[in-house]
Amino acid sequence: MKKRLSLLIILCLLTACISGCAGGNGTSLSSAPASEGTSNAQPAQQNEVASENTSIGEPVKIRVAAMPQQLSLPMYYISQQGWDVKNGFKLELSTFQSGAPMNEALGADLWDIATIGAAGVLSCSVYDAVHIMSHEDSSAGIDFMVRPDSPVAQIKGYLPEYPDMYGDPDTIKGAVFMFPIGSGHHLLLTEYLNAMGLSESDISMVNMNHAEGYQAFVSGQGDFSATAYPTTDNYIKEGYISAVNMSSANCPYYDNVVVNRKFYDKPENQDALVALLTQMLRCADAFQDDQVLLDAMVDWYKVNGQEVNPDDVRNQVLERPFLTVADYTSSDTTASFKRMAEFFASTEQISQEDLERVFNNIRPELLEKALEAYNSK
Amino acid sequence: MQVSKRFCLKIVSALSILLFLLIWYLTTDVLKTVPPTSLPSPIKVCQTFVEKLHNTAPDGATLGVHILASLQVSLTGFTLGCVIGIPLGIFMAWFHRFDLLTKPVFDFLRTIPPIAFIPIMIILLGIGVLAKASIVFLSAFIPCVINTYTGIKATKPVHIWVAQTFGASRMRTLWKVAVPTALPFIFTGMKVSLNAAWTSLLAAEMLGSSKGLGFMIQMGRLLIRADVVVVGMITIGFIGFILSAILDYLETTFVKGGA
Repeated sequence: MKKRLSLLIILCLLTACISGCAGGNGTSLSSAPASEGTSNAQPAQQNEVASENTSIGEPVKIRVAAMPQQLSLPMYYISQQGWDVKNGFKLELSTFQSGAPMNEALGADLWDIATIGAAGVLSCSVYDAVHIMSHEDSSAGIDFMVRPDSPVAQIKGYLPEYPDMYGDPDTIKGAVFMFPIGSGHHLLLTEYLNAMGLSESDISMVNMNHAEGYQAFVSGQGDFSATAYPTTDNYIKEGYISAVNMSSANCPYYDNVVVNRKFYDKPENQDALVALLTQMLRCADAFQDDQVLLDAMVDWYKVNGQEVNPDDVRNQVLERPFLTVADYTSSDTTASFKRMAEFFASTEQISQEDLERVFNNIRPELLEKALEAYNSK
Repeated sequence: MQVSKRFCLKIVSALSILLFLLIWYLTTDVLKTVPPTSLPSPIKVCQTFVEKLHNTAPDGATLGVHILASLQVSLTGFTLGCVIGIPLGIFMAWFHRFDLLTKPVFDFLRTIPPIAFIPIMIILLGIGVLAKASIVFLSAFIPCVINTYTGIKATKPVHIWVAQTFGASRMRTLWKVAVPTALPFIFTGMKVSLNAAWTSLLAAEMLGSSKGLGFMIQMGRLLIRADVVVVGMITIGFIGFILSAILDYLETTFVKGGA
């Protein structure tokens, strides 16, 4: 009897242990993100416990997953200007180094809203997050660099429809591309190869982050190296050539705002989300003034521990505009996100079923309401 | 009696694995206390395992390709670590002047995590197999040296005196007395090296590769495919188990009196 009882207790304990490892799931209480990719942008705020603060008169707390990059600048700016509290919500920023740890944090229900790039597709396909807005054109700075003496650099405009693209099928075939697989660069590579009538089997791919890729490239490794700001500036200063980028490949690439499904589905949060999007539109208008944008970006870098010279970052900041009301009313700004999702499906990184889920999770209703509200003001 | 006891012990070992699988199944498939994105069910893992044998999605290569790529790197680094580390440990322990010359450098290098060498290896050796194998080598080399060194130093002076009394030269005493004494330590060092080799291999493959079990796990993480991650982990565990078994066999074969 004792043995049976012991066995039962052990079984229960082990089951509880495994269940406990799953982390917070389904409750409104959560501690500040402790993911390896996080850093403290606003430690005091991060340590607060997020609660469902929806009572009348009190601002709705929105836990924001941000990156120390330009795509998250509006969130910081709104918070700095106090536009959040004035409009019925309160932003609590946590910073992550990339989209992958952001998604892991979403799995643990550690944020409500995120500014995210290509990884947003996975937020929507795996965690059923909702895409509510594409807010920044970050096409500029997403490049593949080649050496000036590379055969690729000797041929420009091989295809008339891509006059700024370098290389031809013969010079690209067999080349080694270093880039983070499954990222926006992967999409760019696919576009590049498709334009040249080639496929991934014609080249060699090496999975590398930008910093390591730069190090390997300058020491003579690989033929093409993926780069994004701020590393792009280093390549350009050293005379390397951008063989292809999102602009020369005619491939717009926007960053996105996605919302945790649990937060989105609560009716009491809808107004706060509309108010947030309205303030993001306000930000985009404010950032039409180059100096305002530049100053805010330098400040955002500083908050994240990076001291930068405004002159050094001027190009990279101004080349990536935020989408304004005019952009939203004149074009389908979700096209970039849809293209990214299709790309993930075409490379079998997500299934067709996942792709459908992503498309279903693109919800423009809140943005429409925000546009209406913003225009009425 | 002895045989039946051993058989019973093996049954208990097998039962512990079955119990683990049962709890895993109960937690994920029956009680559903853990979401599949955090911990996939054993059935899903089995399905993914079978699928990965022939399907390249979602990481661009089949499981066989990943295994071969990882084995190539790990065995190259591990073999180099043993081939260089064991003789170095023997010489350091046996020749005092050589020890004085090399030990400070070795003691300095052994405290640096091999993963910290990755950026330098990229610059020196590029992004191919050699760079990754070098990282693995650094991991495997250090336990081999330390254990061999300790093993040789553990030779009892009385054994050395006996050899000397019988007129054995210093080198003959080394090969006939000290090295056989150190063999259990050397094998232990090799087992520790094997473990270290796989640990550093995963770190090396997470950077600058497009195939290998470490790469597969990283892609699984990136694409939030916990089933792919678990398949990678189980595969590594299984390969490690086989390689350890081979080392155990070699140990019982070569060490006098059995392990």
